[in-house]
Amino acid sequence: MPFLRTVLGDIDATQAGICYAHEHLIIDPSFTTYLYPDFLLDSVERACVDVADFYAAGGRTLVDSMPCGGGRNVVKLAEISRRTGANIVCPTGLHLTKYYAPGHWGERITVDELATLFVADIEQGIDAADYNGPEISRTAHKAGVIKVATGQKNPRAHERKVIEAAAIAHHQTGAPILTHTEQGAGALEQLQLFRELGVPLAHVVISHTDRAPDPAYHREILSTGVLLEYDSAFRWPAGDGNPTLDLVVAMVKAGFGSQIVLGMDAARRKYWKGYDGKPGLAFLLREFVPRLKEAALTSADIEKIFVSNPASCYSFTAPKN
Amino acid sequence: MDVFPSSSSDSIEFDVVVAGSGSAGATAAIAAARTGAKTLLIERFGFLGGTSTAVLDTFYGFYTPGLRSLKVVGGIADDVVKGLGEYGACMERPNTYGAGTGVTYNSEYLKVVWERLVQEAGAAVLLYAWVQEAAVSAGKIVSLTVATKQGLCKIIGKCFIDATGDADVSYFAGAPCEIAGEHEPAQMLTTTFKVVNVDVAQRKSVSKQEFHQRMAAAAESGRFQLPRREGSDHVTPIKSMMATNMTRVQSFESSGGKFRNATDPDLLTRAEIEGRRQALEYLRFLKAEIPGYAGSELVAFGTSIGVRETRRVHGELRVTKQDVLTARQFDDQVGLCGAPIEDHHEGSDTKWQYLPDGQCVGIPLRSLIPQKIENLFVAGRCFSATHDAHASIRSMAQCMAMGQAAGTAAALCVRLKRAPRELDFALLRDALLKAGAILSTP
Repeated sequence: MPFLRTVLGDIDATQAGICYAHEHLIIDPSFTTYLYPDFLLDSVERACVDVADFYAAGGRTLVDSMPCGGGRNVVKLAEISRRTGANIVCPTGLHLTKYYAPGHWGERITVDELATLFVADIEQGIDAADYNGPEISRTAHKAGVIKVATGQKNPRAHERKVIEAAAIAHHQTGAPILTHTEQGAGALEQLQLFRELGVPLAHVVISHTDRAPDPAYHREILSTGVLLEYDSAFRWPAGDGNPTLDLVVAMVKAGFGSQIVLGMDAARRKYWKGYDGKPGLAFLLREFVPRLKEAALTSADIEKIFVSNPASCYSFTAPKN
Repeated sequence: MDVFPSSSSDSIEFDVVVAGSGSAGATAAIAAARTGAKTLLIERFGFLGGTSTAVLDTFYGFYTPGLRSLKVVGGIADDVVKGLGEYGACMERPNTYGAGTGVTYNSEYLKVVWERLVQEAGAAVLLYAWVQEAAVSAGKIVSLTVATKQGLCKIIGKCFIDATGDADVSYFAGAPCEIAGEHEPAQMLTTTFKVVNVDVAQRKSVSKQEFHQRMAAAAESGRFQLPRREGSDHVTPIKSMMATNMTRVQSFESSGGKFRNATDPDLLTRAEIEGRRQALEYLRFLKAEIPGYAGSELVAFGTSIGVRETRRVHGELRVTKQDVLTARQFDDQVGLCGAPIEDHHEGSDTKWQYLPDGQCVGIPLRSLIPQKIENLFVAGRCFSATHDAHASIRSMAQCMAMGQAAGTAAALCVRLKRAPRELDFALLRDALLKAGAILSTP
């Protein structure tokens, strides 16, 4: 039976319900928030304001996307999940080097050591101290996705190493993979690497590509069978049209409706109602879905984007070894 | 680079020798040379490309048919399309029948693209060289003899790739082959032709269905002799030029206890003449009955008649209809095929049978390794398959995937001093993936 691994345990994929595919619910004090103070999302109470609203709007599952050592706090995510009833998937993996202090262990560690850390997060439980050392104290909350990132078109050596470790961890555990692209660039290069490493592309989600809203680029990527995550629906300036909306409609029309997922990627306080910002986490369900319907997407199309696509791509595959 | 022997020697020597420069052979030569082998590509005509440049103008098989188009062939095939794109000489086109999106190109430019890719990879080329004989010793091909304008020439090689389409090398080497039409049906032959000065907008006012109805009505009225009632025409990158796939010529016959197919010199001679006769008859029909064709004119026949199947080797594994229709995956697959079984059989229609939506059958390396001969791969339409399975996997994109696999494998065999059956498949798989080949569905 396909399952998703949430911080409170494995759930049947058919029970995941309406899902957001790339979220930031908690970002604890870290080098990330030292660089970008507005990224500090450290309050369970404030997060619960928006997650409860997401739940009230019909949402059921959130895939968080902060990997090891970047301000991840799985204990807080578990608490949000308990309080609101929403399922939360927490990643392992590593982000771009720029989100870590110079000299971070991620740069020195070998591929195999890195893969071992990822696998332990997935199979044993995520470290309460988020691999910030010196001791590892594993919680009962396991990682359910592996997050990797590239910062430009062609992956750097370090980024290739992280992707290779992610592939090893995928083969060992069956966990799905979520990637960051910088402004949507480098998706084809990422998936060529995954192909070489034998990762099934139906369990790889490439994020933020709607920031490069060229339909031909998206058709080329989608023709490989990989999933794309769009999350800029609320970011486009008002009045100029919405390229994310146009892209969703175009890709559904092109036959790729089973390969698109949506998220908010609301990594700044200013986007959260709980932190007195807007539009709030429920934006996609309360405001964007009606616009998708106006644009002639059917209920079945929308169900795929929010329910069956995430259930399928974020479910674990059978481990290889 | 000169390859022909000087007067002091009667032979030339290479690591990998590829016979036939169609989509499979040209790709195989590029792959072998890129993998580091001293490679020779031999071709019977005066240009490269085989069916891709002599007969057709559309690569099918890159994409799966169905609701979403999954791209299932990559690697060198992508370089070919990119090369065409640099001349502005290709376009993607949804298939008239639903075989998946095709890539239609100007075949004159493709001749140059093949030449450029083969030469840039470092492979030597010998045009106007036709394989006549294979010398075999202790189960290994030692050399091929080719006919040239200056007589016969011996080509010595360490590993050979039979990409002749008709399995000429395998046949001459004594590898077991099956003959299409002998026990199962065989696909018909087609002379393609291109027409210019077509009013494309007017032509498009007639649906595919109506086009076929008019063709059938014209044939039944007795005014036109049109053996195939479901022939097609399609737009090309050249404004006002349409290309056709309409004629249907018998590809085999049994008479007086003798079985002949399209490797028989007499049958082939008659077929070429009959194909062009039919083409003119279809043209007469188009001009008279189809809007947009009234002021059109014939610009070219295919350089030779199009041959869909003749000989196929018996390989280590023979792909079957069951394998195709259940989208079977193989441990040693070197490519993918999502195309339906497309059977151009006797009679006026064409039969189509689809795989499960969005799925692909794997092309196993074992189907490219003929029985009995040690240092030989095949690539292209002479690979090991039943008539039905072949009718799915023979598209040119799959031929390129097979060519890349066979060329890479042959070069690895030479480098590692291994026979094809002893090659560690993981090495080949990694090399193919590194080079952009697509070996599994998402």
